[in-house]
Amino acid sequence: MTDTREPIRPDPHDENETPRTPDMQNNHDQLEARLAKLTAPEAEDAGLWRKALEKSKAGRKRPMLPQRWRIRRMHAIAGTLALVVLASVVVVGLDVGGAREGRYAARAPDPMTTKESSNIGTVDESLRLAGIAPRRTQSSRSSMLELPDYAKAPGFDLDSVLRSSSGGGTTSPFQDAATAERLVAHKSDLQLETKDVAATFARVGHLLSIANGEYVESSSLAGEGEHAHGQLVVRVASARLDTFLNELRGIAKVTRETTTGDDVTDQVVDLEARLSNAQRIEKELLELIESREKATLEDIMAVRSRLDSVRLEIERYQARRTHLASQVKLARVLVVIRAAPVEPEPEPAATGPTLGDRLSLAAERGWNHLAESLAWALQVAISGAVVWLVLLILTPFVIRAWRKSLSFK
Amino acid sequence: MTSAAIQGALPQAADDSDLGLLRAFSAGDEGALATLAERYERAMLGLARGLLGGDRELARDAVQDTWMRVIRSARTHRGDASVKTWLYRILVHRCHDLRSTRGRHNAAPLADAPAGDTDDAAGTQALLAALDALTPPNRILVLLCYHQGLTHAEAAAVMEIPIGTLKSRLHGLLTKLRETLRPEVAP
Repeated sequence: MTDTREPIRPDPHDENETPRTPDMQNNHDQLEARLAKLTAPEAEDAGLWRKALEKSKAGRKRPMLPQRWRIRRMHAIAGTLALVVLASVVVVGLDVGGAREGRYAARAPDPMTTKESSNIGTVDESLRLAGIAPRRTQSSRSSMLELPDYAKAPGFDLDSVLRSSSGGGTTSPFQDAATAERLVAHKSDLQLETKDVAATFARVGHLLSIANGEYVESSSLAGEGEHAHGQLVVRVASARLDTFLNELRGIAKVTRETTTGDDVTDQVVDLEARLSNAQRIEKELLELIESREKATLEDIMAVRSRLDSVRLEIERYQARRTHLASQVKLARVLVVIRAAPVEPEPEPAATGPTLGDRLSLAAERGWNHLAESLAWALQVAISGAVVWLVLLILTPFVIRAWRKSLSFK
Repeated sequence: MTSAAIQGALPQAADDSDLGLLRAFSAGDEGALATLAERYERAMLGLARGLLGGDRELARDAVQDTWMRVIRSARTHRGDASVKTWLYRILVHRCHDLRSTRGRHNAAPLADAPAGDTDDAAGTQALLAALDALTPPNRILVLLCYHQGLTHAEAAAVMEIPIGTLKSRLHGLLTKLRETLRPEVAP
């Protein structure tokens, strides 16, 4: 093999180059000779290519893929990293969103806020005492009650009774499967405190879903500035009550909250029994008039009078029935909006805050920020544990590949 | 069985250039690989030995790994670099990896005690120590430039740097090595 190396000689134009003595020239020759000897070709043929070929044949279990299907390692690593980063962004994003929602859900109850569900509890307790175990489902925050025994008797069709009483062809709100088991009229009272009463007043109206039949029953807005006061009575679909209340909590500070659930199942069943009975009497009276053609006028007037009173009762029962249906289908929410009290401007101290006060305040704020930062970091670390683990595993490979690509440049 | 015997037993490639041999091997001609090995394996072993501080066993591993890589990637070679440069580049990378791995797992010095007269052995040991003190790219550059199988242009192609850069860096590195070795190489 011909040695075509170009000799490395000192640059003649370099003024700093020290003139060589014969000893130094000898040293240079020794150095170059030793360097050449270090990498001198081996004298013997090792046949390593054959071992590699055999090893490669033994290790090749799968046929080689066409070149266009092969993905270069760096591309694969880059793709994996991109996916991991994307996944981590999604995870952290969801986590932050969840934490934001969770602030409202997991907030400690305001001392001014009360929440009760007295009627539900009472009915629940009474049914338990009567030997009817209340059935609970995951979809409701409150007890899901089964109908009393008399409502489950053979032949008792509550929906058909209610449909007939509310005008025949019209759809009964009790047809809804979710409300067929318990007929509860929800009521909520919320007192909100906000700086801008008018804006909050308008936003409450915008939260209603007209598609679900929700509407503002009454509203009033009076006063200005810190004396502004607004009040709305809105009817919200019972199924959407929790969502609506959560949205209200998001737009202003809730200073008072009361929620009640009034179980009207007994009233409905009793009402339907009375209605059915009145309708049966009305039918019998009509039949009586038609069958007694030779009755005296006095008898006919007496029956007519009785028929009128029965008809009146039927209409009253039907009106009551419609009212109850509305109560069950649409929860009533009273929203009172008050202006937040304006905090009085602190009177400037004669000498201003002292250095100690400022340092104390700065330390307190710094400590709070540190605590918040640590809490956030801990939250991100735990929620994205899987992502961090994958990154931890992949990072050495990526660094190694990167170093390898740069190592000889 | 020697390489010559193997070559005789295997069908010969029509194009005996390096690229022709590599393509013939890709097409299934194992004799072409034998011819390539006949040309470069001993030189590669010498370079690997130098890059790995004189460790012959490790050098054999590096060269065998290089052939395995060649066997696996023969089809992907696009011909934009010469086969020789490609082979040496794979070898240099593999030696770098092995040296790094060995450096992490075994702190023992790589150099074997070379046979020969005592002065020469001492000088070689001193040279190895001086090379060891260089950064990996500089050490590789010096050894590539003094390897008998490569011209400076080929060494620059293996290092993927311009030849002017290679020469200027080599000049500086030789000066540095001379200064380091002055007490040892002085008669």
